[in-house]
Amino acid sequence: MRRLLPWLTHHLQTPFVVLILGVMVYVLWQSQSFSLGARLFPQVVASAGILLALAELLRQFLRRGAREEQDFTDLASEEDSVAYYGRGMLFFGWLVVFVVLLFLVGPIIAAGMYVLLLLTVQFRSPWRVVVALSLGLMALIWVLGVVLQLRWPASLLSGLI
Amino acid sequence: MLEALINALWILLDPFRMGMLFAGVAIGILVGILPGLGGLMGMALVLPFLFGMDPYAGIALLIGIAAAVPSADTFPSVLMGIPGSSGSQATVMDGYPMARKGEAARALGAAFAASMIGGLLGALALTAVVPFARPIILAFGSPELFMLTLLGLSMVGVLSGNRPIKGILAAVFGLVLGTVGGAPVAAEYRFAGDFLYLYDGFSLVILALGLFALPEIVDLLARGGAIADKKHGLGSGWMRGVRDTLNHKWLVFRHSVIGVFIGFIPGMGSSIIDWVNYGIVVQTSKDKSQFGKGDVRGVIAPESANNAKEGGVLMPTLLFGVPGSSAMALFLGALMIFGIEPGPQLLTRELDLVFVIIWSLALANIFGTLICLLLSKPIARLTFVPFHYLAPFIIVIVMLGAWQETRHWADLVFLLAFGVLGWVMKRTGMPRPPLLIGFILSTLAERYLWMSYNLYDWEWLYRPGVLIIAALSIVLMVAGARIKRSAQQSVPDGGES
Repeated sequence: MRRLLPWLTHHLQTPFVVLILGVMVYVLWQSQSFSLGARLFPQVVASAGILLALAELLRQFLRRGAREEQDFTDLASEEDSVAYYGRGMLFFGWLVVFVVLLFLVGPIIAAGMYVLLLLTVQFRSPWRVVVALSLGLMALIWVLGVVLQLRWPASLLSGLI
Repeated sequence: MLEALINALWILLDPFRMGMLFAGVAIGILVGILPGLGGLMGMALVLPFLFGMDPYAGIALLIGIAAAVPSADTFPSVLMGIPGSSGSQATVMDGYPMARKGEAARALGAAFAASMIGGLLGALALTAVVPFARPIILAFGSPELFMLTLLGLSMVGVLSGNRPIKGILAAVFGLVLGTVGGAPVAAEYRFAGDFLYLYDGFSLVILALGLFALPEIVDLLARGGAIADKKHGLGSGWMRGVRDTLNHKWLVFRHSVIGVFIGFIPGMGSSIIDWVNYGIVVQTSKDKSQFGKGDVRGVIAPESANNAKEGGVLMPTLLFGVPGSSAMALFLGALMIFGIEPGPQLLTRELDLVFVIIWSLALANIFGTLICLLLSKPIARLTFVPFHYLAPFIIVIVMLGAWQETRHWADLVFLLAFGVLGWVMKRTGMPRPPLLIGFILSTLAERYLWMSYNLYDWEWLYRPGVLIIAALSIVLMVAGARIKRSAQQSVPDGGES
C-alpha cells in the first residue's frame, strides 16, 4: 500500500486512459443492438475513441518513466503528492457533507450549518466571522429562492414534522 | 441590417435586461479577481438559473461575465503577480514590477483603458463580419456543417492541452457522453438502462459545474491559506495610465486586431493570445530594455488583445455553431437552453439576437472598465480575502444551482461524479474544455452526420466543400500548433507555464 499510493498518484494517466478505452469498447459493443439511426454516430465515435486511446497508451508506453509536461493553461504548479490527493479527497468529502445536510434539513438550514461546520471544524475560524457568514449565506439563499422563485428539495426533517 | 442593429439596442435597453448585464459584469469581476476561478466557472455558476429567464436577459448576463473577466483578472496580475485567469499571464510580466515600483494604479489604469478599447474593437469587428459571412454560411449543406463541427472539435482538442492525442480523446469522450439518452434521429434510448433520469441524457449544467467548478474549489481549498499576501497598495497615477494607453493608440489597435484574428481560430485559448501578443510587442519594440522590469507597453498589448479576442471567439460560435473557446461552448449550451439552435439559422432567423450579443459585448466592456476604475480600492481588497471564507458560498450556490436542473437527487450525485472526473482529468494532463465542447456539439454533430449519410451515403466525403474544410483543418491545426509553440517559447523562465 505504501508503494501503491505514490505509484497511482504519479501514473494516474494510464489507468484513466484504460478506463476511457473500456467505456469506448462498451459503447461500440452496446451500439450494435441499436437501429441504424441510433447506431451510426456512437459507432463512428467509439471506433475513433478506441484508436485514440490505444495511440495514447502506446505513447505513454514509449515515454514510460519520463515526466509529463505541465498543462500550459495551469495557473500554478500542482502538487502530486499522496498528501495533496488526500486533502483533495477530504474536500470532496466536505461536498458530500453538504448533500447529506441538504437531504436531512433542507437548503436554508443546511447552508448555515455547512458554513458553521466547515469553518469551525476544518479551518478553526473565529466564531464571530463564522456566525456572520453563516447568517449571511442563509439570508442570500432565502432571497435567491424568493426572487428567482426557486423550488427546494423536501428534506427528511420537514417530512418528519 | 442597420434596422436590426438599432432594434437590438432597444431590446437590450429594457431595464431588466440591463440589470442582468450589470449582474453579469459584477459576477465577471468577482470571478476574474479570484485566481483559479474565471469566466468559465462564472458562466457555469449562473447556467442553472437561466431556465425560464427571458433569452435576451440571460444572454446579456452571460456576455457580461465573459466580457468583464478579461478586465478584472488584471487586479491579481498587477497587485499580486498571480494571473487572475489564464488570459492575464503575460500581464504579470510588466504589471507586477510596476506595482512593486509603486505604480500599480498606473498599470491598472493603462490595462483597463486598453481592455475597454480592445473590447470595443472586438465588438466592432464582429459587427463588420456579419453581413459578409451571411451568404457564405447559407451556402453550406449538412456535410460541410458536420466537417466544420469536426474542425472546431479537433482544433480545440489539439490546441487546448500539451498532448494533441489526449485533447482529441477528451473531445471524443465528450461526444460519447452526449450520446446517452434519447437518440436525436431515431426513437430509441441509448445507454440509459432502466434509469429514467438518464432518458434525457446528462445535463449540460451538471457536467459543466462538475468539470470546471468543483475541481477548482477543491484545489483552492486543498492548497490552503489566503489567495495572496497583502504586499503592495494601489498608489496613484490612474490618469497617467489611461494617458499611456491613449499615447500608444497604434499599439492598442494592432494588438486588438491580432486578438480578434487569433480568437477566431477555435481552441486558441486566452493564454496563447496573451503570450503571443506579449512576444510581438517585445520583438517589435526598439527599446526592449524595460520589458520585464515594468514597461507599460507590456501591459497595454496583452490587455487590449485579450478583451478584443472575445469578439473573435464569438465569430465561429455565432456564425458556424463551432465554439471558439470553452466559455463559448457554455454560451452555445445556454442558447440551446433558450431553444435557440446555434449555426447558420441564427443569422437568418435570429439576427436581432446576434446584434443583442454584440451590443452586450460592447456595453459590458464599458461598464466593466468603469466599475473596475471607480471601485478599484474595494475590489482590490477582495483579492486578499482567504478563499475558505468564500468557498462555502460558492459550494452552496453550485449545489443548489445543480439541484434546480431537474430537482432530482441524481443531479447532485452526477455533479460529484463529474467533479471527481474533472479533478482526475486535471491531474492526468487531459484537457477538460474539449470534453465539454464535444458533449455540447454531440447532438448537432450526430444530426449533421445522419443527414449527410441519409442524403449522400458515404459519397458526401468527396464533396468539394468537405475536402476544402478537411484541408483547412490540417492547415489551421499545424499553424495553430506552431503559434502555440512560439507562445510557449516566449514564456520566460520562471514564469507561469
